[in-house]
Amino acid sequence: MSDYRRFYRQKSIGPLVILFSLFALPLALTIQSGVWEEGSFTLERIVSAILDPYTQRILLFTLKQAFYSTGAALLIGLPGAYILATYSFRGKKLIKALATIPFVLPSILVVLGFVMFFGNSGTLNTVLMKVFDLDDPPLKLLYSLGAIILAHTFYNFPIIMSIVATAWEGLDTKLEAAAATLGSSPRKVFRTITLPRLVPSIISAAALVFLFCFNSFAVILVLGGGPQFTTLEVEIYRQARMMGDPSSASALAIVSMLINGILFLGYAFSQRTLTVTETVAERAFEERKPSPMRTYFILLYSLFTIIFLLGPIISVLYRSFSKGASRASETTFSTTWYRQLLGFEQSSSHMGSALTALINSTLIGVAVSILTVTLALLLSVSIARRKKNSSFLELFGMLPMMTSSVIVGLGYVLIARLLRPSLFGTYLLITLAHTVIAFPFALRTILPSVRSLSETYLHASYTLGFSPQKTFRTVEIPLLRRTLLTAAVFAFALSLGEFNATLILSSSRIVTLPVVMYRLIGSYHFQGACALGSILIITSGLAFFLGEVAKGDSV
Amino acid sequence: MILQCSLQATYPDFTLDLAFTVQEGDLVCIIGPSGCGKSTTLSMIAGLIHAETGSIILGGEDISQKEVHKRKIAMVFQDYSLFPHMNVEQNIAYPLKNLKLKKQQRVQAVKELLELVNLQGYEKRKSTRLSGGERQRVALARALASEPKILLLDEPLSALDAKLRTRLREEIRRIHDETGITTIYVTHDQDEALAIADQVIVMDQGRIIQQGTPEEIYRTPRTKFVATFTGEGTILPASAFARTLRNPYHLEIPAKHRDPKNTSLFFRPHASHIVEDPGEVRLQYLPFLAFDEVRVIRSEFQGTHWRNSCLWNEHELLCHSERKPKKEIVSLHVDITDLSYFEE
Repeated sequence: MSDYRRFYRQKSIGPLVILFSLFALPLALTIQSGVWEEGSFTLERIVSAILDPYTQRILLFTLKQAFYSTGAALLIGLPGAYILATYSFRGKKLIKALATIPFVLPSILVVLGFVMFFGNSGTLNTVLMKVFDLDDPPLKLLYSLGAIILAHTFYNFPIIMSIVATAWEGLDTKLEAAAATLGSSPRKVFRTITLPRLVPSIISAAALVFLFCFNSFAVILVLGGGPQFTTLEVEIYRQARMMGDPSSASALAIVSMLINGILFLGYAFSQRTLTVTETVAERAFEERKPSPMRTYFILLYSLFTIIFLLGPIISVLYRSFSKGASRASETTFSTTWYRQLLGFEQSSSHMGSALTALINSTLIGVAVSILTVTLALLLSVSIARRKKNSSFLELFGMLPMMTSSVIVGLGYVLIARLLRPSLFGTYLLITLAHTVIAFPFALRTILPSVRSLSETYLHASYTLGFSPQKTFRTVEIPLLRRTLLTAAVFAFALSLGEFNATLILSSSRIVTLPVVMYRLIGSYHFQGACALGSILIITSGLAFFLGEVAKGDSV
Repeated sequence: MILQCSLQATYPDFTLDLAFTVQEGDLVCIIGPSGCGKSTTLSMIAGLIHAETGSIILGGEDISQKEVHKRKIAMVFQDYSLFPHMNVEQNIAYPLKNLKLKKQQRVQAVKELLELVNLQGYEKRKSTRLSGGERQRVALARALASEPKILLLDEPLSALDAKLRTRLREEIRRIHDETGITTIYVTHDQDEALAIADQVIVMDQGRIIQQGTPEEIYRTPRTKFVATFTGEGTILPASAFARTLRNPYHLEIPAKHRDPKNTSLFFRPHASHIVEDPGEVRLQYLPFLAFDEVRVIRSEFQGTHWRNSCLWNEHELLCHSERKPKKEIVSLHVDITDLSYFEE
């Protein structure tokens, strides 16, 4: 064992202890609270939770909406994957870029964008009413199962599209050509040669989307709009916050974690065992022009994608600058919501806390970003420079990804009950919860860069007379600075948009950007919510942009 | 500084056990096939890998337990490892920061080092925008800037094309001579080693097979491995000596030619002379070996000479000649001073 390996091994101790206390401790409290009653172990709560018809109904609904949403996302996403993988056309890059929006868009923003676009006085209805000269909005979508499924579909079909398209592009087209020369019709070639090789990617994309929909929180909370459409996550929040019964919430959380664990294992299994990578030197796109029918189809699909992915975002931006009655025809341009947001103008109670929320969220975001990147960097170098146990450590770092953010939040609620923190203390707990949630993403950003950094840079520095500590500071960190910046912005954006854990932790005195947005939506003050949402859009956009820049950048 | 190494280490598939001495100011090349442990040896001297037992005595002090950065050893890596976030000047000045120089002195030192490696005026260039040869020079300058007691070069030319390699190895020798720094140079290219080294160490499977001057190594290889690794030649059973010896002046034959332990004899292709006319008498006083009835199978033109593959009593003989042999059946003469022997 060389000296420098020891140096990097020691580097992991700090972050491991901190991560353990930030993640495992709240989780342990949740589990303990779920199975502990008056000083003794009991499974009664979990059993009764599972047997309770009310819970069963919720669980059934959770699975049902996730199932429908995944099905709908597949239905819309797969044709897109086909187009992206088969044809080369103008605007393809744009669609690929747009497909990454769901990965960076905070869920509360998705909800707001959905309401602004599909809502009764939303963009779509306004346009339809103008075009067809109607008096009433033709689409009444909000607050129903349909709304939930629609929102999930538009949030998730790009995930299916990009995962399957990437796999599809990786397939060797020579096999199709071979099958054709052996006498198979195009239809048969697709059914017997192409489709079987795509199945793994379709399964893994669908599993991922199912997992997202199963844990969906903000969409259900706002668009479900009642006990009729409650999922497990929302019920955990309701039990913990509104009923003040964290023990029942914990029992539900354990049930949710078990199901999540099974789903996640299924996803990991499908990724590991089914995926076969074919080596393709160059993907030959179809040389011949698509038939007029297909050109029409490609055009329609592209237009559809652009409208439905950009529409909600643009609606939010547009609404944040408009004032007046709900009908679009009567609105005028105004910066009043921004002036209220910045405190230049008097405003209603929720809008009045907007500036505080902006400041709070920014401060929390900065703290989260510094904390997360530091921890992720230290753990990354330690993982990359060690020979033994590296995959175990990596798995440990990714663990928070396997629990939903509502459950992370619940763990911190339990800690708050123990500590009874002051207002500042609660903000501190929120910061720590955000750190736990952002950590796996930062680790996933930083670790590959550290791994690809050639160790001979470090060796060169040692032989030139620099200690491992000095080398870490003067060579390693500067070489990683772009990745670190990307991870920092990413963590900041995640924290800024974090809604689930924050809401479950927050009392009425706690204000952050998404929480105030939620309150504004709840009181139908959409323009104000849009002004706050626009700030989120810009930060998310920046995170997205930096992520793209970093992708094309290799050390 | 004199360097005395004795290193032992065991790996799952490989055992390293060697001892050697490098004299002050020498340029020593370690050569051997890939996987023979030559780079491992270099990493051990640098301290990047630790030997299980052994000592590394540099200038009278055992440095084997010291940490890498305290050993005062500089190393040039195969891929040069210039720091991509620093320009040429910053790269070279990087080790100078440890020497506590004033800024003025630092700038001057960088300038002198760049002059040494023939890269005047390159201070502000980006290190990522340099050609392979330029990177190599900057890496060398950076290594020298740390004022090391010994310089280690790990296959410094292997990433460059053949023409550049020849030029840069001359440069490395020149820089070595100007600075007088004790240098260990690892390569798998025997031509490179023979061309620039004061001493050559031939390694195989974690052991030193032979150490000597390039000429000793080339002319009198002590094993078949050294003989074939450092170049071409002919290997025959030692019994061929008695069968082909001609000693027209009845001179005394040195004892090594009669040592019964040696089972093979060896000579280089340019040590043998083709005699096409049986009546031709070479002006030769010293004893020599004469292989008669040799069939020339194939002749390749190499630019400076012809390389002839021949067959003699079912043994293959290699022989260089200035002109292409005209006859198919010829004789080959080899002076006995050009013979070496192995025990295998």
